[in-house]
Amino acid sequence: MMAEFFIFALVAFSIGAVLIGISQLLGRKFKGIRKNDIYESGMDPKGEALRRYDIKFYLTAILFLIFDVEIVFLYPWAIYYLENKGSTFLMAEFLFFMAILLVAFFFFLFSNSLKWEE
Amino acid sequence: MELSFVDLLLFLLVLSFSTVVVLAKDTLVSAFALLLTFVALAGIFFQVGALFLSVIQVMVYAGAVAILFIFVLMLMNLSDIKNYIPHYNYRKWFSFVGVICLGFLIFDFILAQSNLHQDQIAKTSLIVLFESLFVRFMAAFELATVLLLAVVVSVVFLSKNQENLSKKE
Amino acid sequence: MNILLVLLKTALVIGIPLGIIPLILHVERRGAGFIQRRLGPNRVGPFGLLQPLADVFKFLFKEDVLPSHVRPVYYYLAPMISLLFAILPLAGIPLCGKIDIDGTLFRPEVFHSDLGILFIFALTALGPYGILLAGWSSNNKFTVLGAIRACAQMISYELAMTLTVISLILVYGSSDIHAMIASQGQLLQIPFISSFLGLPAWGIFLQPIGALVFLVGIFAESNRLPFDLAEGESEIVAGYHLEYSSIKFAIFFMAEYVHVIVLSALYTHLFLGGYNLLPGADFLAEQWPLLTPFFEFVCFFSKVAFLIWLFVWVRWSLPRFRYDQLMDLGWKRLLPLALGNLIVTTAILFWKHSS
Repeated sequence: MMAEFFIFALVAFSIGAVLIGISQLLGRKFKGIRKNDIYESGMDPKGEALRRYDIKFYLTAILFLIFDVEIVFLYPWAIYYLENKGSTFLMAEFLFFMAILLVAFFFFLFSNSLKWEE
Repeated sequence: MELSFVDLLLFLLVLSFSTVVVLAKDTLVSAFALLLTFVALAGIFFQVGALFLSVIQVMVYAGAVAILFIFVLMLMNLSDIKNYIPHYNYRKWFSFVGVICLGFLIFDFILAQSNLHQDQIAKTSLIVLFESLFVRFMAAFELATVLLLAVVVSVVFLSKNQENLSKKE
Repeated sequence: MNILLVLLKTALVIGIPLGIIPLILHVERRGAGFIQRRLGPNRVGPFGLLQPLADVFKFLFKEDVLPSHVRPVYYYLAPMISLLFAILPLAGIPLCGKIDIDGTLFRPEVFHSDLGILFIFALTALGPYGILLAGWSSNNKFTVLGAIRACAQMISYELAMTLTVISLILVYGSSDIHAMIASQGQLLQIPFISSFLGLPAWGIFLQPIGALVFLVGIFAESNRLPFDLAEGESEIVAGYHLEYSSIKFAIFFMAEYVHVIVLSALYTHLFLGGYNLLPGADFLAEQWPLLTPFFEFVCFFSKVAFLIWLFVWVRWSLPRFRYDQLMDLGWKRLLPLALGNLIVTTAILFWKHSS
């Protein structure tokens, strides 16, 4: 099964490679000075490319990671629940898990830390 | 205990990408190679029969942790790593030893796979895994949730601290 | 024999979406013209149908500019990786039902496992990396910022989508796509009205909130309007593909359309009944039972086509969101909705199962 997936990925990757290769063969090449410059609305570029950006992106990434891990716990719960339908023990476990998740979620919702405007 | 061609290929991919992670001069190249290491590792997990783990590896590690690393590196502009690591010049030797050890580890991992054919590694093993997660180790599962709550709280406080600091400047 | 089968499936599963892309391009431009009360391209070939072909030729013959400040290897690698990660989820999406030839079962998807739907979502989670690589390798302030913003947008909406899928797994009773589609083929049973309406048990009827959340999510995942900020021209000067020209730029747009197709196909399988036969087609399938896979594919394809038209329609009808509105929608509106949906679904199912 993995072998099939590898073949699939190889074909998908080679489509892009083949297209770029064809363009290299068919396209013309001109030497120009200004054409290869960096694009900054026609002006000379100021400062380096990678500066310090906002911390909100880091916050978004970490929160995404946390909720992704919570979802990772919910998937097997759903599959296991389908095997033992109507089990009160599993429901209690789920409700406890959800309660803690909701506490975390509402904490960060009401903490005003993901303010994107201003 | 046969190693198929796919196993060897995945093994080589993991080794080569992890070598790039250690030896690359630019940290963001390391981060992208780390992503590819995670994906190849997920392939190895799939080959030894750990279906769920391979899915989780792609979804959480390759899908969230690697993005976090790349965001942090881009935001903090840590592209030039030489200024931050003291024994920078010895990394080639340490990494050579490290890659050899990693190679042995993965080789063992693949060799130790059970004799189950792929189609037989079916739902039953998943259910056994989930049962041990939710019935036997339920306490650990709930404590993990509390740990995640602690992480959310700490991250929110850290970011507020950062904002207050940058407002004072 | 096995290799041939794999290659055939790969060719079909990759070839059909990639072959539809010129058609979607044409539909988009003519549809845009129709909505904006003008004619779209109609000069090249009958009804302008050869226009996408002309565009492809133009891109191939254009000069392949390598700007002096980019990192060469990653600059060329980024469009290829973007297209690769966009095509990968297609491995788990079946085109028609299981084909039964003399007892052996052929599955029309390249990659099958018991956790079918999870694999597709795990591969969709790799989507942002092509954009990140493109933005970073261009060494330009605008592209890096645009790439980070696009990436943050994509990961924010993935959460709500994945939560919705968990409720779907609970409702349908399995995580295998074929089983989900089979359970959508039954009649809808509402407690008081029962099968009075004769509607099939599609996901839209069983999980309306989930369907809405997922629909908004697929618009955001594919970076289409109204979530277009990463590539909007007036906002951030074309964003992450600023420094790309000719065929590499075209490959980025191909990747975006492949994303649209993959997510539409996923939405169809989860919420619109997948490849289940529509009312007219099951009569035909009874006449010619051997052609059932073909009819299933046609039904599936017509539903996907409707969704793609919806993409085009929404693109030219709604204004673009601001970035903070976008992130607020993802975190503060969709995520609570998805969580509430999950809790309510679990409660209702538990009540149903324990009585």
